[in-house]
Amino acid sequence: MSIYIPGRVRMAVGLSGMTRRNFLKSAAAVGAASLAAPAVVRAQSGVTLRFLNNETSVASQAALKKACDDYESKFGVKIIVDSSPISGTMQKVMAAVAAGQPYDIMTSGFIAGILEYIHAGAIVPVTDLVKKYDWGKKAAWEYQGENWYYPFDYNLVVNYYRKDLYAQKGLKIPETWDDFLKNCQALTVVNGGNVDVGGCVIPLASDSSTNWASFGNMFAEGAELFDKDWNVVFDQGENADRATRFLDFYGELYKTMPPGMNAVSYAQLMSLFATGKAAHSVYSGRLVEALETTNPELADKYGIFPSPGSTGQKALSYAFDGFCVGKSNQSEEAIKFLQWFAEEHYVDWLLSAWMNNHPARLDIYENERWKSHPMIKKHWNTMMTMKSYIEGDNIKIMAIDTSGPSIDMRACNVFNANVMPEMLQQKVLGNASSADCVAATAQRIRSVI
Amino acid sequence: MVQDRRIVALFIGSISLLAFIIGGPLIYAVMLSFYSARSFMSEPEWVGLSNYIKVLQDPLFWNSLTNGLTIALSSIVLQVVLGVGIAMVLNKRFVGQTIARSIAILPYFLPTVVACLVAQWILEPNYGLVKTALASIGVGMLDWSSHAFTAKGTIILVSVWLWTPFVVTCVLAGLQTIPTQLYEAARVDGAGAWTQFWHITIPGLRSVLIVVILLRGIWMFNKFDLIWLLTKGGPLNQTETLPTLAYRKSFIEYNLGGGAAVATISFLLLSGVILIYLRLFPIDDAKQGR
Repeated sequence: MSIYIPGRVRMAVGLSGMTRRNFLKSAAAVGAASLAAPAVVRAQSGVTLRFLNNETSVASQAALKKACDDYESKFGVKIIVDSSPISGTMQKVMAAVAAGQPYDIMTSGFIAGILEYIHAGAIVPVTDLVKKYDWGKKAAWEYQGENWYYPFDYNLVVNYYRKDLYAQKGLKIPETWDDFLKNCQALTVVNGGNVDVGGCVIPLASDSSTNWASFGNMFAEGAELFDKDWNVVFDQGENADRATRFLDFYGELYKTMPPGMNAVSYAQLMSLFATGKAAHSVYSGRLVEALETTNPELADKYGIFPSPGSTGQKALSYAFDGFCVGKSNQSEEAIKFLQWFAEEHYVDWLLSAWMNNHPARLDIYENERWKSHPMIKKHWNTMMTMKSYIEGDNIKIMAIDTSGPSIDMRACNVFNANVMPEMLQQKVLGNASSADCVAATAQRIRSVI
Repeated sequence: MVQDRRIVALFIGSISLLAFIIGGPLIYAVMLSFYSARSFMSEPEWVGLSNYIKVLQDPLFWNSLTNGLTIALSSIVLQVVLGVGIAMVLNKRFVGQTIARSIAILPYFLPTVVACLVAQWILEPNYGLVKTALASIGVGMLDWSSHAFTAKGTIILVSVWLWTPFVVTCVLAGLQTIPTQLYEAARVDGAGAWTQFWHITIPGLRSVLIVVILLRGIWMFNKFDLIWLLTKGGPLNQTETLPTLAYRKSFIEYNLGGGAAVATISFLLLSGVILIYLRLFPIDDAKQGR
């Protein structure tokens, strides 16, 4: 029986005698308690980690947030994610360290940055974690006998071509750079003084894109910057000849490119290919993602091949991405998180940029969840071709900032000072002879290392 | 007496605040130029004048200085000539004068980044408006970013577009302070438009022009954003200026000492030029009409 009391609604609850208001209060308390449970665990653990992430796509940020939320609910450790474009990451890390508030975990894509962190004592090794798995070649490099980052992808610079255009013109996948040049020339369309379709796009700007993407052919040809004792040998003997030949080739190739290569951005490298303005482009797997998003029809008509040298040697330029752990009194907690992340959420993380995050860890290629992603399935041949590049010995994988006998800041200095992009500019914009460019570049390398 | 103390207190407070905000970073930058530092994380190492010697021996420094002067002087000359001309037109009475004045100042309201992106997309050599327009009449598009002359020219043109309105506004205000009787008297004496311009308008605008040229000079010589957004110092460092060089050394090559040395030399050079300029064209004298 219920009795009406003004201002108070009594429920027909029999013996309990509970009012509706009390019931609601109790329910709210229970709800709040359950919601606050992770906070209680957090209060127990008392740990908050700070994560600097430079993979800023919506999907990657969402994957990271899900992982962090999951970790917090399971272990009571809160993780605050701060996202920043890759170009600003090192400044943020430096500022945080200088301010006495270092990040506990950070993504990193430049060796120079990681070496700076090591020299400043800002990160700790993650060797034990890295050694648990097998990695593709050059992915898990060591410095001073330790692994300082936990890799997640390669950014191999492959050459993309249009299968439909190749079929129309009866072209074959190039085996030498002369073949490549002929293909580019055959596919270049000039109308009224404007390049309507460029034979290829290979960047020329004084920035990281050119350092990263424009030297595959030079590596294939075998031109070395340093000998085993870090002497600069770029302008000496056979190296000088190789570099000169490469520049002669690049000079001819440049004539087939659309205008604006001197200022081309990463995004434009993709868009010029995706919009049919270029018959070839150099890029990582991200270009396939761009095709699927902006021009799905073309996503069925592309193919890839490595950069050829003059007599059929093959090479690929590359970069990488991975996680570093900051040195602080929370390093142990950060490593625990990274270990858990590498086992529980690594695949989700990779799939957040399904083709660009070309796995560096070899067991991933056998992972059913990763393999069953619809886009991985669709582009399986491309992925397996890229995998073949990181396994065999027939294709060299090299980079400006990993040149030399070991990982070292000297090669990074060459990368950061844009010495090599300026060599290309001297050749094609300054109209200097290839031999002069090589000599000047070697001098510049000596001055910056 | 109490009022005097308040004034002194406010004066000391303002100076202290300025010293903290401006002097602190300035002193830090100058100090940094005497150290070898690869990052803000590692311990800097004292190297004395080594950074200055290296910078002064680097041809890129002198190239950047020349580029900076060329870009600054060219754009200032164009901004002032155009600014004075437009201001004189806008100073005349005509229908729609207020609307014309508002439109004339519009570009000054644009953030530099917006103006540069708009300019880049207009001039983009593959998809840009200019390329499309030229292609429609069968003319090829020039790859402006690949040639030193056109890259510098683009920087100058965009800066003239953005900052001529500032000159227009200042000169327009200056023109309105010149007594109209002077022009009437000149006309009675048979002076033509050109004579009036040289003997009345320019002397009347002297103080305004001295300040405008000084400010535009400082701003253009220190201009970083516009150059970085349009060309990043390329091609072949032909649009590299001292501010972009300082940035490149500090935040791309991570040579903080070298970057600080470039910034310090740039600061000293600019200070020296300003002192000479103000000695040659004293603002007080101009105000007093001397």
